[in-house]
Amino acid sequence: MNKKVIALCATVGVALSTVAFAAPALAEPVSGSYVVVGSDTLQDALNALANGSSISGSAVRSTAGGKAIGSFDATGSVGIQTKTNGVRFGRPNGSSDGVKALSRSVDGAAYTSGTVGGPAAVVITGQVDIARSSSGPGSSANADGPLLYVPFGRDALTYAHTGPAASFDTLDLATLTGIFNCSITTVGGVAVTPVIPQAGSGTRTDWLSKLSLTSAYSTSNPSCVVVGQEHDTKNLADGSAFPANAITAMSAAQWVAQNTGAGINRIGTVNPVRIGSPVAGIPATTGTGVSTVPNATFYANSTWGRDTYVVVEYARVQVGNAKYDSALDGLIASSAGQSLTNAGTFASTAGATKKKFGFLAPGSTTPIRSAFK
Amino acid sequence: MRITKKTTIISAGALALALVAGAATISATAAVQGNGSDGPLYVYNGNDGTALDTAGYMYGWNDSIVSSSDAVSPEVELACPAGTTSAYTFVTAVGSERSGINGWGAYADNSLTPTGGVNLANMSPIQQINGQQATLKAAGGTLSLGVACGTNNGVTIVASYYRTINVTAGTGSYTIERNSGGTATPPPAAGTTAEIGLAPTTIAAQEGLLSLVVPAGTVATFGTPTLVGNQSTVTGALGSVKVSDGRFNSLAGWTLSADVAEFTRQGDVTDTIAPSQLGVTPAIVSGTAGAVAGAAQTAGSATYASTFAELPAGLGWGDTVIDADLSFVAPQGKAAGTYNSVLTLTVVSK
Repeated sequence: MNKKVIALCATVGVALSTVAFAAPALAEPVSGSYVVVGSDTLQDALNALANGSSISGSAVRSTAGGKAIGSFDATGSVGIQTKTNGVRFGRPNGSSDGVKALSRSVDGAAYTSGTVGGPAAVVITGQVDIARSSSGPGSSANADGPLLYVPFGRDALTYAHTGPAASFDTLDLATLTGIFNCSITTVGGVAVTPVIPQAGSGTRTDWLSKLSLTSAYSTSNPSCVVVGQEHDTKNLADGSAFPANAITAMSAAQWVAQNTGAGINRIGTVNPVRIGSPVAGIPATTGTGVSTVPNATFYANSTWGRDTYVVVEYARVQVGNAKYDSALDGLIASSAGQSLTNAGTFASTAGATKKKFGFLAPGSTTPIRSAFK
Repeated sequence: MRITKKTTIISAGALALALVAGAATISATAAVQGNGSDGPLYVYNGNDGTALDTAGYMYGWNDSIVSSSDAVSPEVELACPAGTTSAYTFVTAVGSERSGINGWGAYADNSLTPTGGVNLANMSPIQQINGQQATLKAAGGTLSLGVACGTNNGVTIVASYYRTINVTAGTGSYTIERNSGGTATPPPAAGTTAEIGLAPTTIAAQEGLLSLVVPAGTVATFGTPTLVGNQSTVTGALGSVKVSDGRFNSLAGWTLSADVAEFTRQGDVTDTIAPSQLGVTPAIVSGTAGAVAGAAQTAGSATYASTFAELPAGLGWGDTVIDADLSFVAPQGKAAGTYNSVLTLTVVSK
């Protein structure tokens, strides 16, 4: 009897496993070589470079050692397979999630992404090569660290809103801080809703840091705050509509790209969405619609301007290291015209392509080493 | 059907008109080149749009280069015939320049501009990621590198613009042959100036030899580098140049001077070696009595411009042939590789 029961269980177990692992067909093709995941802020620009784009006036594509690379969006199907015959794992959503995935791809510990519903605790050794990050390593910076943050382009952090222009367009740092810690509940006589990007978002991390609210949000969000999806002013994280008179952190580069058509347009249409600036008299961008361009003066601001990064394993780009990979090194070495970190202005360079997505040349080109996440 | 005279005449007229109309739409761009290219194709630096198309320049397989249909400006698009639906760049065996996506050795997709042409196409061989660019690089030899206009998703090629390149097997370094219709650098005015490309190779200190073959052609020939006093040293010959003087009445004489540009390393043009590292020892091969070679320039302490050869006034006229031994010494800290430069010769009357 016992033997039979056991055998039955085993059979059932196998059947269940088969059902559980019958993954739906995935739409995204695997990469031909290196894999890029992570931040939503850099995603459109990096997708354009990975897939090839003529938006600069010349067809530009960042290839590596004669092979195409693959860039995976922050949102989409809950699971992704990134390489030929590779494992399916939770899609990394945001900078921090992307750097985590890179770290697990190197150290081999199991990875669970921030994407709800995705496969959990999957070993993803070798499945991720580059992470997009809209913020630097911060306190993880480490002169002997195994990761390397290489400057990709300069963005600036500001906010977008669905309130009246007169009262919402210019809110200074103190006012924004009060709104996001729930001590300020109205702007211009109107009740305001702060929208914070989802956990794992680099824009969220940067925003809270600028507002000195990192610890206030460390265990849970303040009660008046709702959770949005990074750079999306159509819907909140739970799928409901983005509310009126709401304020959310917004990358100026994303705003440029969404308006020019270079990036995926996630600008809400129910309530008119406007870009604000925390610096009186200096708008984050100028122009409207397809003529929207970054405002270099705002980008140069030391508080709100921010360099964004592509992150790799340090050993793989160090000449002489056993793990050294010259093709990966060439892909992120800025002197090459089509490298991901190029800041050129000529139409056939990656730099010119990135500018169409709202990224200017980084404030510093010095890479920063960092610990794993 | 019975063909009346009227019908016949009308038909002939219609046929003639069709021919003319066809010719007008084929292309407004220039003439078919000596290598079969549908028009001239010029090459510019893909990083900054600066001119690159100089005689004897040694390109690296990975160097970023872009196309233009103009000898002076990089952003002049290549015209595609009406009806073109797709564009490509390719590197392929000579003779297969119109073979399309299933015939080229390696290619990449490009795009058409709103005016139906191709602008700043990236012709870097390593970026022709469809196909076997690595195999072409390993084999070396003569190839065609260019831009094509296609229909039928690339199986039909309606226009192909290309340059003939000579690739060093293994390293993938290559030179580009001139457009047959003319020179990218203007011909010397009044026969006073000539440019000769230089491409000596160096080896790394404290390590084994790296050997590279420098193709013949309008380049000075250099031998294999060796270490002398742990500095990479290579010698070669410029090749004979000739001064031709027809002033049999005035016997005015002439001075031939040489200037050398900074050497830039292939693959990283910010890595440079000063011209002072090139030694030049001119020698009169044959010609007018009284013509003398200029003082030798020693590698490491050479100064340019220098006198290459001269004929003092009153001594004679006619042809003088001059050659020079070259030596190139790399400073110790310099990376091994191929360094490109140009030696410019200029003759003036005394």
